[in-house]
Amino acid sequence: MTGPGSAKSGKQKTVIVKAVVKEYLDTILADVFPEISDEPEETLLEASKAPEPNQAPPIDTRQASSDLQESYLEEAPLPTADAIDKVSIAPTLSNSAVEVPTIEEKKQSKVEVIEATQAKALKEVSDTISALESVEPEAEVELQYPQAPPWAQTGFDILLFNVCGLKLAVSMESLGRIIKVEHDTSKIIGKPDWFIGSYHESEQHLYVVDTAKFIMPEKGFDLAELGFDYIIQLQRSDWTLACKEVYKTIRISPDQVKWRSQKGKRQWLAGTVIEHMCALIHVDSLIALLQEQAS
Amino acid sequence: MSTYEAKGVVDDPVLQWVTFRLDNETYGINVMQVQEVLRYSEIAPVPGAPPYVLGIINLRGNVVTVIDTRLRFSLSQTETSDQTRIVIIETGNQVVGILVDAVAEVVYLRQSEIETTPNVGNEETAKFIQGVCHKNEELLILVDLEKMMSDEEWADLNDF
Repeated sequence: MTGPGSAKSGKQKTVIVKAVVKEYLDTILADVFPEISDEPEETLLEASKAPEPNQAPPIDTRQASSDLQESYLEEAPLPTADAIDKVSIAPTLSNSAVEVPTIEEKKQSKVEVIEATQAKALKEVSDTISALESVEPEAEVELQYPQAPPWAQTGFDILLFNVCGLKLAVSMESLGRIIKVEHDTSKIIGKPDWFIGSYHESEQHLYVVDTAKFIMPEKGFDLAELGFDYIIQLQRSDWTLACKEVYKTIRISPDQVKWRSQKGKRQWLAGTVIEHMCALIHVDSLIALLQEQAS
Repeated sequence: MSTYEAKGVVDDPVLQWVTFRLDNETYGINVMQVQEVLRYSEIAPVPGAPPYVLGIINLRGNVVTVIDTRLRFSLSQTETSDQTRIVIIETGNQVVGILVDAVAEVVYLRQSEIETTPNVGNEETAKFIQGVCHKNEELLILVDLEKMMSDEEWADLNDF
């Protein structure tokens, strides 16, 4: 299929290919010209001013480097390689001093190395292009329930639990563990009033949240005083919700929930389970809120 | 109908009002805004909701928010009784319920019978009152439902 999307995709592929080639050639150039790329230019200039005895007179280094560049550019017509040569090779070589036999030998060997690496790079680029072309563009999936999270597009299980007489629901998909509280929590100073403390379980320190105080502060409940029998771990995070009673799990379909947007004041609320008239918790948002407010 | 009578109908239309009781006073709301009247049923509390929201009910598969009318009208709280009703109203594009002590009747009022209330005082509740009328030897207070809450509060009701 052609269109604006495919043109954009083509541009992206070109950018990726260029980036691959540039990165690859940078690596090669660093390997081939370690003394040039690592040493400061001043050092090379000083070396050129003090030739050793019994050596042939120095050649015009600018001409030599220019020859090298030209030969390289002729044999390496890749646009990206061209750009890289102009940027990184030319200024460095133009100031360096080498003797004629040495540079010719090096030139020969380097050209051979470059030819080999170019061929390898071209093969890799062509493989990358083939791979990119073989990848089908992702089909746009139209969600049947746009306001519902992805995990709730089909039937899903929820756990109903009770906090100070209020029934709440949480998706089983978002649950870690349900832990029966068998020992005290350790209080941690300097935390918000909804932070009951830390509960040690299976070599993990879990943070216990006073669900009533966090979710419905207007009701004035205090779970730390009233007591709680279970903590419900949110995903695999350290956060757990304290509750008095765990009812049961039920399977519901997305149309049994009145979904709400997450832009409102109660970002932890995913929606209302109509049949049970209870709030369905949006676990990801709740974890984010807890992290934000606890820090 | 004579031309004279027809002109009178146009100039002075007859409006229907559903009347309800709240703290021994009678209030009226435009019948066109009333969808139905329900007996009191359990209202599920909504966590994090403002105080004037009593909770939500399941109305044939739809979630309807119920407003605490007494609280909104700055009246004292009372227990529910057999006469307590939830009046389902439609205002704007929203359907909400208002909890009232009892629903009385539907009355017919001519526009000319409605008197304006003196524009005095700063009380929030004063802005809800559209007018008053003396009917059957008692005062009927006509309520403008749309002014019961601010635009922001009406918008918030969508999220309960």
